Amino acid sequence: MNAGVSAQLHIVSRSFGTRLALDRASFEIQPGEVLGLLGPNGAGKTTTMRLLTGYLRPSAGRVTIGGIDLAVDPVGARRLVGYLPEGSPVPRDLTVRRYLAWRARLLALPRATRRTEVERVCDMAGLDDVAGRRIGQLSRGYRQRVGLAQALIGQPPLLVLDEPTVGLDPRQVATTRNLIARLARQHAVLLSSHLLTEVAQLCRRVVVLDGGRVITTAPVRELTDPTTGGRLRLRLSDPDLGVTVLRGVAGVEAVERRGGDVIVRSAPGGGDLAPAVSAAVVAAGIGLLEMRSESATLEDAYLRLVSE
Amino acid sequence: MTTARPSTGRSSARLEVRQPGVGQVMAIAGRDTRAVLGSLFGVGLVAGFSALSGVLVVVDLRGDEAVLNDWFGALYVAMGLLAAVLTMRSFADEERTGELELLLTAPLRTWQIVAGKFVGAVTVLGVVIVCTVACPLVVAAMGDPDAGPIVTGYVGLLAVGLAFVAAGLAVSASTSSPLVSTAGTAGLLLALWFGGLLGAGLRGRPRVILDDFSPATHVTGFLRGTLGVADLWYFASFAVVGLAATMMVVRWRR
Repeated sequence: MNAGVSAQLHIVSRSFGTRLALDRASFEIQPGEVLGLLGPNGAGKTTTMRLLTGYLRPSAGRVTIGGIDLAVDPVGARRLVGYLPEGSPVPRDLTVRRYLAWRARLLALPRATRRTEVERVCDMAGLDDVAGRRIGQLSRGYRQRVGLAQALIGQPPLLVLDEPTVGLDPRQVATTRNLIARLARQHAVLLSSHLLTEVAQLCRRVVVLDGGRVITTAPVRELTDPTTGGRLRLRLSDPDLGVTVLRGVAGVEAVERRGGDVIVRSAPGGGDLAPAVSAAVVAAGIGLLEMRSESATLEDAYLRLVSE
Repeated sequence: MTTARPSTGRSSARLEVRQPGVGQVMAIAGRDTRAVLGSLFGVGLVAGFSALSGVLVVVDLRGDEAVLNDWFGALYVAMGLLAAVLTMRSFADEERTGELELLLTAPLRTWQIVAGKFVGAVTVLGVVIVCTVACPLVVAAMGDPDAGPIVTGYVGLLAVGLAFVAAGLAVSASTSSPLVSTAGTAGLLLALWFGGLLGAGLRGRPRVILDDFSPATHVTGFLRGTLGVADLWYFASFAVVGLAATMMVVRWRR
């Protein structure tokens, strides 16, 4: 089975005038993996995707897709990439089938292959029912699927998807996630999303960008490992006093009120805080009504990384 | 000619693809032509230019002579505005909607994109020019115009159109604002056109330069009924420079 190609950014920088949008970024997308690209707005995610798809040219550094240098053989490298830009900018005046057939023609697929390829991607993206309708008449969710379908034409081994579920309703989000999960069996995927639960669900590894720099590249499992920063949820008889007391416990990184609960976050490598926390609470004369250990989520790890 | 997809190392499901060629140029051109002519914008453009040519022919015939020199002269200037509005959609408007991103990231060579956009815009221009043919036909029905200047006038209209579209594409590719693209192209072409007329008031080298660079100088032969090699060469060079500039801008962006 085709499991995609690798793609690399080698010390890539990109500036727009005097503004450095991406600063010496290096990472690799491995064949058969879904790599998540995370970062706050303006971190350089879209710039990174545009560099990988050849829409932008690096100011410095090298981008290779399947071993092909984008600067040396741009047509050959682009042929390996299917791209869904943010907002799925597909023309509204064409029918779904006609647009996809046009994209297939742009990709130089032989006439005999085009029709079956259009039917295949319509089927994969769940567009069979609307294939004869004008794209402008479709809902945003369907237009997003049209964008995804055009990215799949020609079976490119690398898919670059920029916010593929943004603006979709919960049912469409679930359908699109399932589709991406299925695609991951046949393609390498670079996925940019602000939805961290989505990234945690679909990706094996993530690259976190902030201010145009790669601040970490790590497996999701490693970032959500309790030993790298777990948390405790407590119900106390006096939460306000509890917050003050717990801030002084060794190994505690942060304490916050969330509703009636108190959340205690341990520092990376802080180990199991439960004994020390419970001892401090009891010593302060506060009633410990409940204490629950929660593993760190990707959101915790992400917030910690971008705030450091 | 067909070729296999470049090796992906682990790929077993391969689709055969052809080498990029003229097929993709025609795909881009066909898409652009249909997008314009199938829209209210395109219909309005063709109808507007046809109406303008009708009004101009009525004005031109007030002299009771079946001569269309002034009519062609006015259409040449109007061609600059038409090219500005038409080429605005080629790159600038597509960048605004985001569609250009999908086109520029497709496995196409830059020349294919530029040639496709050029052929698409010129096809629409051809439709517009064909729609004006009714005017000389009406004049021929009413009088006995000399066919020579009408034929060369149309050759000139086509030459001016090709050159102006090429220049418009270069401006359109340089901006993401349709308004800037339209105003920039119209401003550039009108400056070149009227620069030649202003040059008539100067002396020496500035006059020669303004005169030689102005399209207005090079359409006089067409209006007189002659096809000068120098004039055809001028408009061919104008178009080539415009397309080369568009290629440079698109290549720089990719």
